[in-house]
Amino acid sequence: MSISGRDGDSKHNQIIDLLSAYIDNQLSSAERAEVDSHLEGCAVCRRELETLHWTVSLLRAVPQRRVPRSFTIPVPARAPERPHLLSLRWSYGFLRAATAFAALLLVLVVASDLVIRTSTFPAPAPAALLAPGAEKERAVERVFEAPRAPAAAAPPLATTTPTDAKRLQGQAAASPPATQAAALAAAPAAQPTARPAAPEAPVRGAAPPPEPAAPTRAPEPTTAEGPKLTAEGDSAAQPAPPGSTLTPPLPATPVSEPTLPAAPTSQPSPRQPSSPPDAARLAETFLFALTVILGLTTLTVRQRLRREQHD
Amino acid sequence: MDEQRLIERARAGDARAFNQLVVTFQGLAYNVAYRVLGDEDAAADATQEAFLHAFKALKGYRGGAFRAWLLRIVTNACYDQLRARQRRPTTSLENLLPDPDLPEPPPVFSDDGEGPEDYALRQELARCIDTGLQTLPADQRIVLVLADMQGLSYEEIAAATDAALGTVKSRLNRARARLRDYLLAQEELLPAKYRLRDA
Repeated sequence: MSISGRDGDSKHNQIIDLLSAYIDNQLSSAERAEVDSHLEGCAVCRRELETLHWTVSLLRAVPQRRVPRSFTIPVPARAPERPHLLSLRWSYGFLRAATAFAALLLVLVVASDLVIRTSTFPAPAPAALLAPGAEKERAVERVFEAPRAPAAAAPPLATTTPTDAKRLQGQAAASPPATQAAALAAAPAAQPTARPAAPEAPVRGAAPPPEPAAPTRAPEPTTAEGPKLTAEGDSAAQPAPPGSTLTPPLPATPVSEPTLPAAPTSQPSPRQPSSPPDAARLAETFLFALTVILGLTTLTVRQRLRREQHD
Repeated sequence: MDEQRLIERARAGDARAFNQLVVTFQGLAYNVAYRVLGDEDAAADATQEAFLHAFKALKGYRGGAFRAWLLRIVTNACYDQLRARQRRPTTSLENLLPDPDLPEPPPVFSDDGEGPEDYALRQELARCIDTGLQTLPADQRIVLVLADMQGLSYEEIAAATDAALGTVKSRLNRARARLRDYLLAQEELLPAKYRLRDA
């Protein structure tokens, strides 16, 4: 008994189309009022509404069916977790290697810093004086050659000067400033003795010991006290060769050369050792912090890894 | 755990979290599939397919009503089953016959202290309705099932069937009228309690 099929009236059809939404309260208030007013005077549409209500109530009365089985999806054996675990393992391995590397670097830096410090502490100068020392040797070579050219009788003196130069290297490095005064006093006193020794020939060459003492001490004050003193010391030392020839100008410059560089190098030498430890300390601090951070991160990652593996 | 958190975890690939959602929604999904398809096995297949597809498609889920999103997948799975049935009509007819070897699913009593007699009557009504539903076009059937058997709103039905709200209204209107005509024609088959008292 299809009401809509029986009644071709457009008003009926229009109302009938709204009845389903009317049941569900899905009409606007105007539409609802229109339907209500039509239903009052139309038994056919009231019957239509009644049968629709009945249908809906029957549908709602139908019991829900119990599921015949569970529809859960198969959980792959930790498949979705595997990439996560894998990345965790990778990062753990990387962190461990990085921590070890940082720790190794730290040890190396600390060790090398210690080595540098222990070697520089008792004698901080030698490294700085190495270059001037070479210059001195060159200067001494010139001294050695100069006297040889003019006078063959001079060899004994000449032979002493290279050894003096070597001693000078060592003593200039090791001699404490306290000896400076003594050296100053000794220099003029010894030089006069050295001067006569040169001209007085090879006989004295057999007894050079006092001579080396004088020249070696003479430059010492120059290294410590600066160019002015070296000028004096040199001028005192210069006369030694003049006795034999006109060579003095030659040794004068070479001797003053090593002393001049010695003065500037001895001044920066206290500064130089201070700058590498600063850099080293900075590197040590940084590496220490890096090692600690990496170590802690590694431990955290390891704990997480273990926890997830247990799950 | 709340639904939203489970959805987030499932989106990240957590099958266990997704299975908690399955447990929550499998009754709804299966009942929709069963009423639309009228067959237990086909409904079970469609439901399983829908959940497997939903787990894969969850990455593309961009919020909104999860129930409607899931039901859209279920209705699509139902359409797939219906198309497959059309391709092999003989087997589909066999599938529609009840399997005598299969035990009846355990009864689901309503909460209001319904006795076994009332439950039997409702089962009788259900059989009658199920047959009537199969006389409707699939589009109308789906809307009717979602609206009057599962209680979804018009908006949810529109989202679940990927249709405009007006289309949902007209489909529901026609589906109700058509089923009503069927039930009036078969009224004597209904338990007396559910018959329309003549006005």
